[in-house]
Amino acid sequence: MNGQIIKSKAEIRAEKLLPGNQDFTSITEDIAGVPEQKNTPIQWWLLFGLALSLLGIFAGSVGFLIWEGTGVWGINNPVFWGWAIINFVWWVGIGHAGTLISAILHLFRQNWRNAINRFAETMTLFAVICALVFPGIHVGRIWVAYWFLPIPNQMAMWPNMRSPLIWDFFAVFTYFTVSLLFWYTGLIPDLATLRDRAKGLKKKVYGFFALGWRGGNRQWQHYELAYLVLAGISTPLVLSVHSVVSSDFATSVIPGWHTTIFPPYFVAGAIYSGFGMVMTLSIIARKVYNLGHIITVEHLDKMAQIMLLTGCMVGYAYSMEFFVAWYSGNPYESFAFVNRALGPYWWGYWAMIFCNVVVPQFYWFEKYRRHIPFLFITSILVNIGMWFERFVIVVITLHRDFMPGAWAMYNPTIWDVSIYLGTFGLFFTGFLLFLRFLPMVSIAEAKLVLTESDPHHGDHHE
Amino acid sequence: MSQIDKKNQEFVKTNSHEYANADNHEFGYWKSLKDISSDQDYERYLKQSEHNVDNSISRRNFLSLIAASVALAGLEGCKKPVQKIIPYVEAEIGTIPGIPKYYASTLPFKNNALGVVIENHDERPVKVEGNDKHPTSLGKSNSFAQASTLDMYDPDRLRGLKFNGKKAQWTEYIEYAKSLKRNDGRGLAILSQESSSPTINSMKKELMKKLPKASWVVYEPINNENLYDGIKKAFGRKLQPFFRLEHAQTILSIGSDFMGVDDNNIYHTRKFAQNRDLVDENSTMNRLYVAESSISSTGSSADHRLNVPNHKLREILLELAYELKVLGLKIDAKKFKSSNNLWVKAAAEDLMKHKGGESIILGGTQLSSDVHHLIASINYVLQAPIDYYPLDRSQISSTNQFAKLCSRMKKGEVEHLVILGANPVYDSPADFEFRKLIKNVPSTVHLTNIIDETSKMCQWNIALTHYFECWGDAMTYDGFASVVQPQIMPLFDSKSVIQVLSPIIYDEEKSSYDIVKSVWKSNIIKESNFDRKWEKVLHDGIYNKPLHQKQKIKSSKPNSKIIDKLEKLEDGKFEVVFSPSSSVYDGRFSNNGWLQEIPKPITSLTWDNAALISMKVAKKLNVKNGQYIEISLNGKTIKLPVWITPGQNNKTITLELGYGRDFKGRIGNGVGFNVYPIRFSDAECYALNATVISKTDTYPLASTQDHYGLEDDKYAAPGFKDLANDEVQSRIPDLVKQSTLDYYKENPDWVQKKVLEHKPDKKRSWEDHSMYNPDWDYSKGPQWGMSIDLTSCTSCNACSIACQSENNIPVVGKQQVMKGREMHWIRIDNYFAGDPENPEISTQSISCVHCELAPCETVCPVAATTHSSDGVNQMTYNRCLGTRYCANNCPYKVRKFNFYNYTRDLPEVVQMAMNPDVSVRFRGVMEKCTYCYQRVSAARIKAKNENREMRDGDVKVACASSCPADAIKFGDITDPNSEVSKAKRRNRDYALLAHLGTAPRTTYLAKIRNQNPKLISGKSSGGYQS
Repeated sequence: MNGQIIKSKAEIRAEKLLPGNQDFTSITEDIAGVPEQKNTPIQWWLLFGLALSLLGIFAGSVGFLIWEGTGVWGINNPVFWGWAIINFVWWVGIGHAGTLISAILHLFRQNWRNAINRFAETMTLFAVICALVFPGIHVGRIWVAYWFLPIPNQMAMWPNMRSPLIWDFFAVFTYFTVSLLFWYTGLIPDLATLRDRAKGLKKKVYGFFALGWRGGNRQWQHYELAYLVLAGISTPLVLSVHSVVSSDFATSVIPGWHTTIFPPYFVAGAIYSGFGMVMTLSIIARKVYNLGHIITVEHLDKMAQIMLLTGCMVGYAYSMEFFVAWYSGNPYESFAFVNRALGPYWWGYWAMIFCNVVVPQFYWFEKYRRHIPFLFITSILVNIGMWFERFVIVVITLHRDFMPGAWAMYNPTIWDVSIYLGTFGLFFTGFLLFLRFLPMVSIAEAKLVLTESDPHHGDHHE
Repeated sequence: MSQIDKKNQEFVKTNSHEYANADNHEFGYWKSLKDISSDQDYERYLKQSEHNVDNSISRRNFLSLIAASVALAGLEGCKKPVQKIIPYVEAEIGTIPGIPKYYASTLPFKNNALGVVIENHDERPVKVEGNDKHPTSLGKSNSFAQASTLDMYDPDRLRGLKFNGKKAQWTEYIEYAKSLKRNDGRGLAILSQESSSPTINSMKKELMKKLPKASWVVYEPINNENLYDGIKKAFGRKLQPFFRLEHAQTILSIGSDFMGVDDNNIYHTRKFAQNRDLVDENSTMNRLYVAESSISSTGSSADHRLNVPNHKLREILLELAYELKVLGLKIDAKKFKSSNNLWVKAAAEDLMKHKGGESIILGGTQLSSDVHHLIASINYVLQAPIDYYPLDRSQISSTNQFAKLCSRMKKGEVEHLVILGANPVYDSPADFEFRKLIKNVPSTVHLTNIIDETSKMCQWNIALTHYFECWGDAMTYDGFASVVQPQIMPLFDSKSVIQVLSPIIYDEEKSSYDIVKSVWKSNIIKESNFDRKWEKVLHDGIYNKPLHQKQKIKSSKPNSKIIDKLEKLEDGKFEVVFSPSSSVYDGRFSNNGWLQEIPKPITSLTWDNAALISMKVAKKLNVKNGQYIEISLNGKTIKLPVWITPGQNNKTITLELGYGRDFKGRIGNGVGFNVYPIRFSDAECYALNATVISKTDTYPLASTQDHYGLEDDKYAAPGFKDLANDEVQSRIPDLVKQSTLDYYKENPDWVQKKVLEHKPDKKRSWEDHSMYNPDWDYSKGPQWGMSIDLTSCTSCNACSIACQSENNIPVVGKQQVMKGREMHWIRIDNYFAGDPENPEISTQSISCVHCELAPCETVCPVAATTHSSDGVNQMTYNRCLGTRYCANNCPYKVRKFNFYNYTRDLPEVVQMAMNPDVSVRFRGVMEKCTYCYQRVSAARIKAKNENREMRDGDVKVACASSCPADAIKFGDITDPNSEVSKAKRRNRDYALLAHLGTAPRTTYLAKIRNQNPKLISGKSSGGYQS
């Protein structure tokens, strides 16, 4: 032996994902240290102040909307759905990455997910909350929105189960419930860690939510099984939620909506945007909390690869839509698509193409996948592009459908914008509170990547 | 919010449903929550509380303050406003609550009479229908008649009497009126509107007898004076022509909009349409030639339309006269050849072919009397189906007389001026300067429905009754006397013309009922059993024996020399046409929200008038839609925005009268642009040599339909400006199936072939399992359906306003229309094909088509829109939560959404115009055509009570019963003998967007143009047939 240390595969991976000499203690210290900080970083306060202001705008705008009616928005006849539905689909899409990262990658034993899954799941929860706001407030008579629910009532009225909006409602609610459970289950060992390190009231609160976790062998066994089962339940949901959301459009008769490609195309798009958002947030968080050694470039690289894949999928879907429109020989359908690219909202279409199809092509190159400022900017572009995709689908389709006599232009109002911006307030207020009080990276799972967690660690290989 | 938005918001405040702080406490009917919580009441309430407890807040005071604020807070909340309902204390004998009563009456319009039947709910008139016993309305109506309900309940109507702006008593007026009789009426002038009322006529005679020095002048800004003068020149005396279009196979209109805003339009449309009711390919059809400068309703129905400026119309006529001479007509005409020779030749041939009672020429009111002379002469030799009736019982406008009155006013010879309903300060020729002259008159009376431009300058303002509120009468052109009978007591202490004249003539106030009855007794019903006959008249609305006989006429020899002097337009200048507005007429309907908001035929403009210009002129002047231009004429200038219009002549700028009002009407004040300032007495209808300067500033105009191809699609991707227009052009043949009569005769199954082509495959493997399959057997009757004949529809808007009146459809205001939120359940789509200079026009009236497999029903999450067992797609308003998904999924885009609570601030007076059988929708719910289901239900109940099956004709939906073209048929499609079944069996029947498989219950009958094969060449072939 010439002193060269031969590293095991696990060690090499661990080094990539958790560089530097890290061990159980340092990981716990680093991650649990954030919520335990005595002095909240000034950046947090700044961001939180901003988020709260946006939340205030949100509350005010929604109040005004409820007071005055949906007329405050730019919607009209024939564009009966506007930003509210665009934002709904957009936020649900963003909410996709969480479960995908947590569940599917967990099932595939992709350990690199361990640094970002908490992040992604939390993001999912708040994104779905933001999304759920819109179906609630976009209806004309908000005070009877509960009629969506299948509640036995004295009117003997029942929701119309043939309506995709009802499917939508169930799909998104199921997804939210399972995501919440999944997130909470994953959080239990970490809550116990925080409980053990805290004092006073904090200890009691963390203790309450830690459900008496002691980290015993049997607890771990049950826990792992429960986590696996939840991952199994979540996996089809990742595919179903956006498929169902897409059926809002796909089951209609409107050219440009009435297409069978929507479910897979929506799912791909959702994962694409979800990863974009995780990327944006994790780049900010690792910068603010100096967690570059836990959320590494390796993670970002992996996420960029998934974005490349899903970006190409949506690109394929865009071109296939055009192909089918032409191939079908249906003039109404053909016009719907030509109008997207060349009609009055052509800039929206080409913004979508640029952000969703052109931008991810840079991810073919490792240089760009590991260039953090580039990743940061492109991840934001991806979400802009995905917003435009929904704009293209909702507004451009509706503004010119069958009857030219009813064609019209759509112009959003300040209230469309303020409510959209306001949901960022809702999202970031929640997310920043999470960062402040809960471990943003799964302590228990991050440790799994360490060589020490390898059951064969310490075995002799020479 | 941008500055424009703010401005627009203010605009909405003043122009739309926002009637906040309406001043209707004074004559209120019942007190509502809104009344007690108005600001003043709240203040008074607070003051009372303060007085009671010496400004210190006691517990009791505090609680009452809280109560008051709660009352205020609750008012503005998002829940439905609470309104107290006062029950009948004493019901009329024979009243069954909820069952409407119908009374015949008459809508006097200028010197014509439209017989109407008025539907009264609980002694409250709410809906106007045509009286089928009446010879001019023939059971149909027009948009003015339909909208008259809203005029009745206009909260801005003048209330009571005012003297110098202060409230006055009727008895004071009577004293004043008696004093007018001094000096045999010297210095007394009465200025009235046109009227055909026998009662007013006999009162006039009496007045002139008692006060021979008085003068009585009639003036209307839109009049038929030239027509009457032309007839006088031709036949020696003024006569009223009555165009019997039912006999006409070839109709040539020289600038006449006889089916649009011209007089007697209901009769004309009804009889015109009657001759194009094609049962099958073997039916005959009349042919309409129209020469005009701007597309009118009539022009849009033409088989051949010629685009000529008004000053060239006499050339067309000269040439026509020559052609007719060539063709053998004995007429004195010199050779004349214009550039439109081919068209004129073809029209002349057709006219000749149907000579002897089947061809007719109608001249527009804008033509000079000389031209009318020629037209009358040609009609005479063609033996055109025109009956001439005496005019001497009617009050006919005379600009000459009016000019004389003005010069007397200038000289100070007029001491007392009594203006009966007219508004000369606003609408008289600009060169008369009536506004200045009226100041020379020491004492003035204005009988008016609203404080307008003239009232402001008059001492006495007397509220004028609506025809729902007064006794009166009118006469049709052919002399059928019709009675106007009140439906309700005057709401606003108003007086009729008869009541105002009565103290001047009789020295005392006589009841108008007695006056009318006595005139009828002495002049009209000259039969022994007067009382019985009178009762019958009241029942029928009309006396069945005409007062007039057809006049025998003998024409002087037609002489074409009289019109030899042709008018010339200077280079670079324009012809300006002053046309009556299809919405507000001459301004008299300015404060009617229904009429202001109805999209005008062809232009689809609402709320404003604009200078209509052609595409070429727009390019030449370098102006876009909404950009201002300045039009100068004889030193006067007006500034108004342009609207690019297809089929507009390149030398003509069309200006609609009746806008730019300055009066106390919240709806119409300041809407649009006043064009009267450049309208002079020598050119009342069109003027030549106007100069036009384009300006850079713009004005927002609200149209309900974008017309691509007239203006570049300014938002399209660079290089693709024609995208939308090309697509629309390619869709027209699919949406409005149309062809020529000749093609139809050769290919009778052409429509059905098209329908089959697009029909989805009958059976598919999945069909049995589809959840969208109907689970209801629609073969059991009654099953409701509708058929709309596109061949006879003239896009006159009567259906749309009838629907608005019947179904309580709100007026949303200009700003909302600009956003695309107009609420009309029936919209009329206009499509223009071919050359924008003279396009082929396809109009299509669309409301919910009641699909059997309705895309809207499956997507509603709360099942608020469902299907009834009789095949009607129903909307349950109080189940709707407003996801708007149904409207998105509606391929026809006929669903309308209440984006705001459009009815919240309706003054109580306007609420009285609402039909109690139909819910007033709250904000956040969807609405659409229901096939007037309230009428279906009423008919069903009636049939049940009479223990019989429902019969065809039991249900008359509002649109069908108003349609003057009778293009809309409604009924049970399972009854093979029903009108609608018969219509649907015709081989022109097709369903809109049938390929979607929605199986709509409303289907269309393809549009057929009876084109002259000689005129079909290449571009204007209208050939959508292939």
